Amino acid sequence: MADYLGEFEQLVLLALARLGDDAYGVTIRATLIERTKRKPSFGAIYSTLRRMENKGLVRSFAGEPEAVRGGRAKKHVVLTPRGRVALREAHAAVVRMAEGVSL
Amino acid sequence: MKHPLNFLLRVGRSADERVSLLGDLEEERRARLARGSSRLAVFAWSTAEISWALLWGLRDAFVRRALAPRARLMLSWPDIKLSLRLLIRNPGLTVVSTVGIAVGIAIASAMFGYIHSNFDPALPLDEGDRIVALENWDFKGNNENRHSLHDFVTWRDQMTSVVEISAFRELSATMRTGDFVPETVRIAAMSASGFLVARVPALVGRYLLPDDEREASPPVVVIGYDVWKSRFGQDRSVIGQQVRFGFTHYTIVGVMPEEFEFPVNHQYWIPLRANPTTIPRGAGPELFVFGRLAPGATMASAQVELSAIGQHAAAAFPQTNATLKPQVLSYTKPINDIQDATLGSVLMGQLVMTLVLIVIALNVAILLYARTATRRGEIAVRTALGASRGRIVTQLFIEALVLSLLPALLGLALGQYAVDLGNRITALDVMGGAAPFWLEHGIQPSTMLYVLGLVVITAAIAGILPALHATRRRGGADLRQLGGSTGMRLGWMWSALIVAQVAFAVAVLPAAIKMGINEIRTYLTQPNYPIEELVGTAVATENASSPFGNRLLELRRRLLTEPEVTGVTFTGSLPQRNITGRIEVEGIPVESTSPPKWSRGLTTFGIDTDYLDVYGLHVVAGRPFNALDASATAGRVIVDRSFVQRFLNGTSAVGRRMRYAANGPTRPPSPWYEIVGVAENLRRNPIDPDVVGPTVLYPVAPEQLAFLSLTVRLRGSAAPRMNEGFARKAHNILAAVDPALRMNEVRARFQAESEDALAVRLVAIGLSSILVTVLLFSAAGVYALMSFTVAQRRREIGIRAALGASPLRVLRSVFSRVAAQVGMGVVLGVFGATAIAPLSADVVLAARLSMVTPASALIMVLIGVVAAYGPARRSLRIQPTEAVRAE
Repeated sequence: MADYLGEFEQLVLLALARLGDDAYGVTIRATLIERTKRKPSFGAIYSTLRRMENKGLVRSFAGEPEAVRGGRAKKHVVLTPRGRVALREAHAAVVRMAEGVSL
Repeated sequence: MKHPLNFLLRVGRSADERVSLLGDLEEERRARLARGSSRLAVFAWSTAEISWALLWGLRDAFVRRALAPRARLMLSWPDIKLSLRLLIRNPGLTVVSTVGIAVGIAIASAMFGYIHSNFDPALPLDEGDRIVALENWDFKGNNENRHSLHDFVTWRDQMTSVVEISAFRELSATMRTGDFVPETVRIAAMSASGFLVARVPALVGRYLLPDDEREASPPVVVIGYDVWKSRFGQDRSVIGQQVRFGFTHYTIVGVMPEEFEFPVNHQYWIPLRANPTTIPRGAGPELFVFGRLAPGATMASAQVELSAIGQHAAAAFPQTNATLKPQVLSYTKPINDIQDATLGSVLMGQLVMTLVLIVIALNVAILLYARTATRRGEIAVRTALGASRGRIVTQLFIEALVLSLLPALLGLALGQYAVDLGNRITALDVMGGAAPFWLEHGIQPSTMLYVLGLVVITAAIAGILPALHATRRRGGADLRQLGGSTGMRLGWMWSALIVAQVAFAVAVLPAAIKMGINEIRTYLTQPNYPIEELVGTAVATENASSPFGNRLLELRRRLLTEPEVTGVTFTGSLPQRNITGRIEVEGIPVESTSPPKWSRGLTTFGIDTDYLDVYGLHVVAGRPFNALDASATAGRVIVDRSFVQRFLNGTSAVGRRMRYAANGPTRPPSPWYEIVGVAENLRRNPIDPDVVGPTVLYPVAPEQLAFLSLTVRLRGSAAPRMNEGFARKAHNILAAVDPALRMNEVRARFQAESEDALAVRLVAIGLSSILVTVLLFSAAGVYALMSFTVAQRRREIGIRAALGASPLRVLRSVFSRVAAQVGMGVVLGVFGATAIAPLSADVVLAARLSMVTPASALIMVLIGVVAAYGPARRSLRIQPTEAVRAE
């Protein structure tokens, strides 16, 4: 049984899958805004990421400090295999539920 | 650039996460500036982001701490079970805390509930919060002025921020319809637009229309659902039927739905007909004016507009309007007669009551701390086994929570009882004794929420404070406590609290005892006549300028022909004779009847010649009134025994003359009245005859009165069982004598008495529960302190006993600390009592109870000694060998 994912968690995981190695706060948020037309706050994104990290769905590592960030390091986030499985399961469940339903 | 709120990002986050988050915000900020956003817009954006991040951080921290699996263990069932077991194991502590917390919560929740239901309540009408009252405030007389017919018309025609401005006045009339007992009903004479303000459509027929207000229109009435049900059997053909109020027939045009009692608690509505062209400005009926705030308008904007109109009126009509300031008020304020000052003081009272509860919680904290001290070993063992400080504090918090839950329920129930009593008393004052339509019954959710908050605060103070204190120092020293001695000390806070407690008790006790004795004495005052045989009602003629005359004699004659009636009499008052104040008896210097003697309530009223006879009161000296006494020139009075005791020191009164002394330059002395008889006291008091104030009775005749109080004495003790039959008979007899006479509801006299007792009961309950609590906690505090001292000095006492110290010396040294604190408290308290003593107005009582302050100081000392007795005895039993070995 894969991990249960909330809707926002799914969206964030999809953003990670899409961004690959370039996933960190700013790019994740930009992707979500671009594709879902929602404007999540950084606070919400960070809370979700930490929750999923505690569950082992994502993994994070610190990057190099950058001038554009006021000399602060990025926190890169990547999907773990377990996260990928959970995402696949969740997506499949949505597809199965939507099958034959005219929307 | 550093945002001033950046520090908030720490909440609930690790360091690296915070750095990364700050970096993201900075990157985004620069990107926005690069895209051309203004600095202000970017600042606003980052402020919003930080706020959101704070909320998310708080949420995460809460989830982590409160709901994480490890933390969930903290609210475990074993903890609750342990708490319940401790409640049973320490019955003394449980009882004291339960009583204290229950009283505190009762007082606070009663206050809250009462305020909630009476001050600015939500009107249960569509957009009820936008219904407002308009009222003239006379700033010179410092009271409201409701003779505002002309202003009402001006406001209605000119105001735009308040619309549908309407007015009502209350009338009462005898209603007659069908076969029912005629009854006196209260009628709202209301502008037709009042129904638009309420926004409630009629259930059957229609409500009042502007046309109905014209003088030429036929009289119409709209009735309420309750009346429709009880009098007309919910018959829809009631429309078009007639009811009679006094002499006038009204056609029923509509029935309002259930629970519609607008404007206050009314069931009959007739159009308000008041023509400003025939009534001079500043005269006319008292009107309650109300309306709805126009869309977009606020109370403040309406007040601005109304003030401008008021200023205009003051300039145009200086004679009547110069001292008037019209006000926009919440709808219920004028009806409840609440002004802002009162509301402010009540809110202040609410704050004080909450503080009372906090003081009680602190007291419980002392007691729990004392108990926690005895469990020091247990706590040390748990710590040694790996329990965190948070875990132990949580356990003690839960114990306090369990301890306060039962008293909270008791307090809530007691508080609700007090709120109901208070509301009944208020309703008696407001209009006709029925509850206004906005009053909600039962315990309100807001009150429950408030009490829940109080419980948590109480448990936090009573549980967490001692727990934090007890777990402050760690280590092996605590484990040694298992061997016997306690390493804990009572800090300065506890000592200060005990001093304050004793001081408070000594300061308040005298005032409370005085008030209590006063209330109890008043409560014990009983009528000196067979009240259970009496029924009564108020009777009035239709017009104040037409007295009863022979109609009253006829009414009495007909009532006496009824088999159950044994006597009929009446009382009434003549304005020129109804003087109270200082009494002067001829031949006795005024000084000897000066204060304090005359300050105690003197009653004076007019009686019928049969009065003493019907009430069964004997004339002990002189004679009763006869028919000739009532004439205006006769000038005769009958006084009671209390009068003779008070003013004549028991000497003979008959034949002497008395008068009401001059009262300042405005009131000259009254004429002299001859005392023709002395009657028994109307009331008696078993414990203090002086409570019964002196009475002066003067004779009145039916031709002098247009309003009187009629009393009928029934055979045997029939009054309590008096059924509707007699009431109907009385009304029918009245109608047969003259339909123009009005009669109120016929009620057993003792019912009125029991209503008076309501207020006394409320005060007595509140007062005695506070007293009991203060005394209980003082005793418990002293007990805890003493126990501590003995436990702490166990070893020292043992050694002193071993070295041959006499028990008295040992005791003295143990007592000294308690004695110092109780002593300091008593001294402070006596100062406090002296300071608040002048607030009590009753000079006679104060003089008689002058010993109360020293007595209450003595009581507190005694309580201290009794509370210290147990621990002191324990200290004398300490065996030197055991005490020394224990270390």
